[in-house]
Amino acid sequence: MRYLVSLFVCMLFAVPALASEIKLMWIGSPQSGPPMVVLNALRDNIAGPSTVVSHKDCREQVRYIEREDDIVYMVVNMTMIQHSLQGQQCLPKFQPQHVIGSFVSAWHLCRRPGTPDMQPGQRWTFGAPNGMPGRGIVSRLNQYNNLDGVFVPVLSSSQVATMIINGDLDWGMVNPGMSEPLMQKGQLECPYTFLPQGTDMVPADRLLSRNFRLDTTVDQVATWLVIAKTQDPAQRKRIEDAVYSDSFRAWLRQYHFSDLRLSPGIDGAALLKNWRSDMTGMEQQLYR
Amino acid sequence: MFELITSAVSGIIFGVMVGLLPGLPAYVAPLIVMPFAADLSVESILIFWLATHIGSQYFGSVATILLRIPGEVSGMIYLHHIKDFSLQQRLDLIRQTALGSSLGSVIALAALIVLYYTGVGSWLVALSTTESKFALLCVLAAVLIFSARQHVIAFILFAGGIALAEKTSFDLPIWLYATGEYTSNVTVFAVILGLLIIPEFVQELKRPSTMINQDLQQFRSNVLDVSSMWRGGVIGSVIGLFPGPNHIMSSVTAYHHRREPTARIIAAESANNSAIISSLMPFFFLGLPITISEFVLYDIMQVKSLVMPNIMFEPSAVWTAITRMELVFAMAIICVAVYTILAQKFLPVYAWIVTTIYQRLWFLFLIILAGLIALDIVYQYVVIWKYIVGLTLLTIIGLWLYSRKIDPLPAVFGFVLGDLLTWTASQLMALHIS
Repeated sequence: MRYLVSLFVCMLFAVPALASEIKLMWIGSPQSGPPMVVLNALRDNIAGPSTVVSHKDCREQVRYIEREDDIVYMVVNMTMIQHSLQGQQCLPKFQPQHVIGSFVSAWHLCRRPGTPDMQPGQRWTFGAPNGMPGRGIVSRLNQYNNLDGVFVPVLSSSQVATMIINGDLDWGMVNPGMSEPLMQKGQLECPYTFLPQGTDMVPADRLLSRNFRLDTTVDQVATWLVIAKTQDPAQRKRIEDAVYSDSFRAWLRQYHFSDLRLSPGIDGAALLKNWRSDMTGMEQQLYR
Repeated sequence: MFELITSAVSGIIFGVMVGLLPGLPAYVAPLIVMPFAADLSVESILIFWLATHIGSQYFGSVATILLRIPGEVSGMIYLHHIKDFSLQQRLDLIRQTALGSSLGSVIALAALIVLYYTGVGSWLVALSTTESKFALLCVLAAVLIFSARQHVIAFILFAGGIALAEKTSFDLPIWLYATGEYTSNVTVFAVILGLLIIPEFVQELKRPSTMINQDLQQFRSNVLDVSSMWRGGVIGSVIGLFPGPNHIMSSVTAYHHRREPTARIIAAESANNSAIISSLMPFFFLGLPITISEFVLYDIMQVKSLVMPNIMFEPSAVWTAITRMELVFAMAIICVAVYTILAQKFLPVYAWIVTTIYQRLWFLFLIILAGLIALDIVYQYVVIWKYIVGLTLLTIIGLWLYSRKIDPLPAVFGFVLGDLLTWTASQLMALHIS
């Protein structure tokens, strides 16, 4: 009996020790798709115990972050704009020193091989994954290039690719990780990109804004912020080691994320300032 | 080889568990593999995923038929029939639905193999157009509404379910997007529980049980309804090719294709299982996931830096003489055989479960429900008090509907399909009206 009581007491003390694991979250909805893939890739690089935490409701996500400690979470400017336009406050309160890095993702603009170029006077359809500023981009393409594009909302890059291949869409934004294998198979053709540095298959000179007049001062890329909330320097070190690790950065580059602002000693305040000004510009120019 | 066998065996075990436990959606099983994805071979991941993918649908019907707690959503369509069946009839139904599921799976698998070896799988993508998807959803809605006794009420319930469903499209008007926020902490299982299971259970308590004293030794197998199995298998094989919750759509379509309750249930289950197999075709041939479970596997493959469908046509690392696709075929055949045996050989165990539950109805049923609700809360990441408030409200509505003899099924399906319907409708409008 005494042994059982001792065991129980030990377990009680063991629980707080286990609770020091690092929690990973992506803020926004839905809690699926590429953000969760990135989160799991980061988790693979965290030494010691870690867990991915998910809440369907973004207000609950924010409450969780306010309540808990030892968390690393990611926010994406485009998702935050969309939530804000839907009247949801999903951005947790954080300080510049909490920001430990940033990276960007973007898309190629693809069509089915044989689909004609966008021509004035011809109706063409344009699909973009949920949350991307597809409507704003089509609107600017139409306005400044005398085109007649129609925006079609789509859930994800994989569905955009499906709808291009089955003939529903003429053009669509597909992330490079999805589009480039389909390009190799000859099912997609991606003559333009939104990725400023381009890729081997779609180089930087195919940047959409270099080939069409868009008249925006903001890039059409999704900027991710990596934010750490912890009071424990050792825990912060664990998070930074994972975020700045060669293997996580290599993983990001493999999926055509730009990891330029993801290294030790990064200026969190400057990153945050840029992120906020980009978000304001993007919201005004591409989402309104 | 050891890793592969472990993956196969654990996949089968998890497939059975996820199928039997109603709180767990079918895509939970492949999520289990996510933390281990980096260390497992692609063959092991494919085999584990396939076993759980097929098993969760296979065993969903066992829980539905025995306990009237749907193991997966597609079983809801025939839930109201089950109370009229004796224990012997239920056991025979399990036997027949297991065989029907196997026949349906074999039909779909044969089509998959033929398409693979003839190399004509790429035409499948033509079925995924927005028009065909919308037409199929409209047919499903029409069947639900017009098969109900009160069409107007069924329509209102269906529309109500859609309105309260979670919406994911940011392109929707704010007022429509916001309707889903009220139920963001209510899961599909809570809706089924509140509107269907608890009201049925309350009524069950008022009735004298007819099942306790039945002699299990009297169990005799009825003649197999091969016609329903065949029809269900063909319907499921075709509808499984459409994107979205195709197993639900095929189940509903096959159910309404037959008249007699037993035939309806057998057809619905055969269709459900064949749809699960045929939905693999667009994913494996074109690399385009069309169900949530396939999305999860797609994510796992991305974590491992692998590209679908290319990897499916490469030689398997286990036996280089065969491709990964052929390995998948072999595993699918093994799964169908094992699940058929498991579903049939353990009929006495299932019978024991039912009689035990009926003898200790209150106690055991409440324990099972509490366990399932706990699992639902843990896996769906909801706020507990909001979940409980939602469940209570739904139960009150469910009891009221039951007292008025109104079938709540259209509301449940509206809730399940609401997001897909709003997406498809908005795409159709953009493509043809803008």
